[in-house]
Amino acid sequence: MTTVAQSITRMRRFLRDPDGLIWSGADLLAYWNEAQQEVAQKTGILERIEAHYYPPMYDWSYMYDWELAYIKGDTIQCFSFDTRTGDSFMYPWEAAYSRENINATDDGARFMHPWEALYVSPAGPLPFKLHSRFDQAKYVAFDKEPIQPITENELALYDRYYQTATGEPTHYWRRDEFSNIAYLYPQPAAVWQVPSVANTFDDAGGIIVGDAQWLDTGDLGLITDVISVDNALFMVYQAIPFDVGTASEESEFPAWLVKYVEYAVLERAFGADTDGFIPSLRDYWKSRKEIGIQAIKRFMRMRTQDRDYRLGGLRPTARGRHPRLPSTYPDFY
Amino acid sequence: MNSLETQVLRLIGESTASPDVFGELTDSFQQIRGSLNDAIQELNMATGAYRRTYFLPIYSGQQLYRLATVVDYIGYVVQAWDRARKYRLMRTDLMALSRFDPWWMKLSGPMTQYFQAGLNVVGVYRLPSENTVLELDCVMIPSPYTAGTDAIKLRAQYQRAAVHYAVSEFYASRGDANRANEYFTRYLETANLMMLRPGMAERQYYIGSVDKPGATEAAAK
Repeated sequence: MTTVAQSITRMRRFLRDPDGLIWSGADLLAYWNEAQQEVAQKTGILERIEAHYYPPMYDWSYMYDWELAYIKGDTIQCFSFDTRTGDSFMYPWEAAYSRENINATDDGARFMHPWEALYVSPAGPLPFKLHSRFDQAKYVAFDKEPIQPITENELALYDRYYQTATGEPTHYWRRDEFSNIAYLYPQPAAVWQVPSVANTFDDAGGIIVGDAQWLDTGDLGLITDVISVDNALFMVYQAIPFDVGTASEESEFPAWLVKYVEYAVLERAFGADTDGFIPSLRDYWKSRKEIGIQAIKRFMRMRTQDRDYRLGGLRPTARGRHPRLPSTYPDFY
Repeated sequence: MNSLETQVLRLIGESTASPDVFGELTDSFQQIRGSLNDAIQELNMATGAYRRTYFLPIYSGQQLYRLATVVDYIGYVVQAWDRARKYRLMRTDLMALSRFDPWWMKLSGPMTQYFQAGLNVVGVYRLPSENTVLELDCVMIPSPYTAGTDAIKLRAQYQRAAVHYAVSEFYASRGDANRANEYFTRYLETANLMMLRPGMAERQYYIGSVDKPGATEAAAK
């Protein structure tokens, strides 16, 4: 893999600024994060294929928004946050009772960590966070069966008990896109693999159960990992790249695509209002970037060249010739 | 120094016998080598000209495999061949497979189809019922060469284009955008990749005829 530092060294040659007198390292990193997002979103080249254990476990469960600044790791917000008062509460009736002394009925148990929901009769759906770099889902399956997206509105219309229904999941739904949280419908009733989910949302993503490192030889030239999807949430999705914090980090793009991010960085550097502002070079690198994006799109189209497309779904069967009379027969008789 | 590098030096006016600035061990020369490597990778990516066969061990009961090569990079699979059964697996994708058989991850049997997801994950249908080996013909992206004696994994027709690509980047690094553009256009033309340039001449397509400025007056006369 290529580190961003290696790319910066290359780019500084094109910038003719080897000592960073015009563009600092921080400038180039900022351009880099912007550029890699542009290339990823314009091409959709970054796809992640992962299997996540279910139910998910998180390092932290927090109540108030401000708590987020004091915790690190995988987090999820528990209970309900009352935007009217700024309070956090477990049951909706608490909000009415604390202010207006209004009693309201409620049922089911509330939980702090999502996995607790599988040990009680929960009052609400069990949330799971999508990957922080999630952009668009391409395919989702739960325990080896595909599940479809559905909106909460449709679901509420179709099933009044959609928040607590249990069974084999057929759909997933999201309340909003900002929180990156999804729910299964109906919720699976069984509990699996709770103790072994520590790495559910780490960057490595997929759960690797078989590791054939012995194949890492020059003869075969191939390392194979096996992705297990048993009892797991299998997801294929378009991803946005992680922001790079330091130059020693590696790019998420494959090494042979990193150059297009570099072109987009150079376009930004020569276009910035600094002593290095050179419109002709900005346009040159912009053109290079755009041609590169076209090349990536062409590459992605070519990936389907082994597909055998046809209307009707079946290969036409070869017809034998109709029986004919010998050519020596008269035309009519 | 290989033949492509020598040609680059000729075009930028550097001595090939005893280079003044671009000696093989200098940073300047590494820039040229890096540009050539970029060109080789881009040309292979855009044309799919370089293929290799790799052997994927298939485990019974395992359907999804993440591939990673130690030599070159996998672009995409163009054929999957089950040698034991003498059978070519048909390519499909997750959407089609899911529609065709929602239980595609559950039913086991002989493999008949394969798909690729992302850049390096290959899946097979049906769930393999026995261990075997699948031969994958893959379009490859060459890893960068590091020495003048390394193989240049680029079709001969495109090698001159790669030289123009490197010369273009040389002029860009000198601040000469005009010459950089000139050589980059040559690169695209030599490699027959002009369709990648989004800024081609504007054209408007019509069915039938269209009034041109002055056409009505001309017809009236």
